[in-house]
Amino acid sequence: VSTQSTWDTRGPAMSEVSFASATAPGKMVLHAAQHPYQAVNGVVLGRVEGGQTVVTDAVPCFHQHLALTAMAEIAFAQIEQYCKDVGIAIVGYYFARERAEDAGDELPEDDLAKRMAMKMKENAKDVVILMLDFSTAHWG
Amino acid sequence: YQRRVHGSVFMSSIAAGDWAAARTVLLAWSAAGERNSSAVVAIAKWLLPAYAGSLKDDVYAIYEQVCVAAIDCDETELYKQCFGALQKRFPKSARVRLLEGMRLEASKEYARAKELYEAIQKDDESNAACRKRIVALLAAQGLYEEAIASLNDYLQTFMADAEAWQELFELYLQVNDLESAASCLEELVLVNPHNFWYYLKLGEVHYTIGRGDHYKLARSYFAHALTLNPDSARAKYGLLLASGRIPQGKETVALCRANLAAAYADGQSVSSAAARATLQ
Repeated sequence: VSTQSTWDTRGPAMSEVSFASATAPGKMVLHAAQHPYQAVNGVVLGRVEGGQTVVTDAVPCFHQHLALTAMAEIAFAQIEQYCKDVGIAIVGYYFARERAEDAGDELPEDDLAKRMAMKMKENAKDVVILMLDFSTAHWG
Repeated sequence: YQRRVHGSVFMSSIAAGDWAAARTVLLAWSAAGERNSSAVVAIAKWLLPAYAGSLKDDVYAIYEQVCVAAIDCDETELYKQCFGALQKRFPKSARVRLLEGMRLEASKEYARAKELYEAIQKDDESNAACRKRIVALLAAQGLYEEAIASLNDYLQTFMADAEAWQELFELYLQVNDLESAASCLEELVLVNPHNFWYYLKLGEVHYTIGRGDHYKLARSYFAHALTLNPDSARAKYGLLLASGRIPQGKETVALCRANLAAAYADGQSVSSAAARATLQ
């Protein structure tokens, strides 16, 4: 898995990510749904096998002031400890934007998601970025 | 679906028909600034058809609250009923017309919403709520720079409006302008110097900016937040982090670790185990 492909949220990179069960996607979607007026973010856990990232769980982190790093550092440290206890690893970062229509195909260079992923790459082997896309969601 | 209100009233304990409890809950949510739109709509559906008369004058505040909740939940009929009742009682009210603006925003009819707000503003230059809706309209379209400019303009006149300074703080964070975000928090401190949350966020903003003096400032702010709220785990963690970034902070780091470890000493949950572990 090349470094470049971990930044893609569409296309070839998606085939390298799989979900072991509904747990992780369920938690991510519920987290976003719990805060309909705000952007949310969190961490996904699992393992990296060969070229595949298998996501087994998600840890919702924040729903406000995502750009502030202090509590994020604490959160990541605690999640890392939890991973060591349970025997899995942090494999990625997920987020949903404040406005559903902002869920585009490309991440801008200085996007918060990229900065977060860079931070996580200091301690994780390979990091994927998952963006929740509600732009085509509808109710009823 | 349970919601705790001021420690005493649970949503699920309101029987359909208990209009007094429903009124208490709705007004409490409104006072606390909690939207709870699905719950408000669910209550309104049995409350308003049968008990609007019993609510007396409170019914108008509740109509307004239900309008916003109905807009959130796409309940067009409910919105029309409540809006109609408000319009009938307050035919010339700008506050009622603003609700229609919110409905237009929710349907993404931004141009029409803008027209409406500008018309209201023309009728009354001093209407603060209208100018704030204009800012909200810009932010809703993702026009954050324009929203910031408009809100800065508003604050020139209404400089003690804490809600507005806080919104400006949030907008600056959106565009990653941390220095300006910090200055908004400083204005908030001027408005309310005893609110520990402002100092907590000042600590977090300066910590995020990073580099020498900002870590020292962050440390001071977290420490001040702690004097105002000695139980705040976030402030303790913040003080721990900021002190860890400066050479003279070693003693503080040790103090924070000991304090946090004691606070997590119940050993009950997974999270406290992980938290204790990170404090080693």
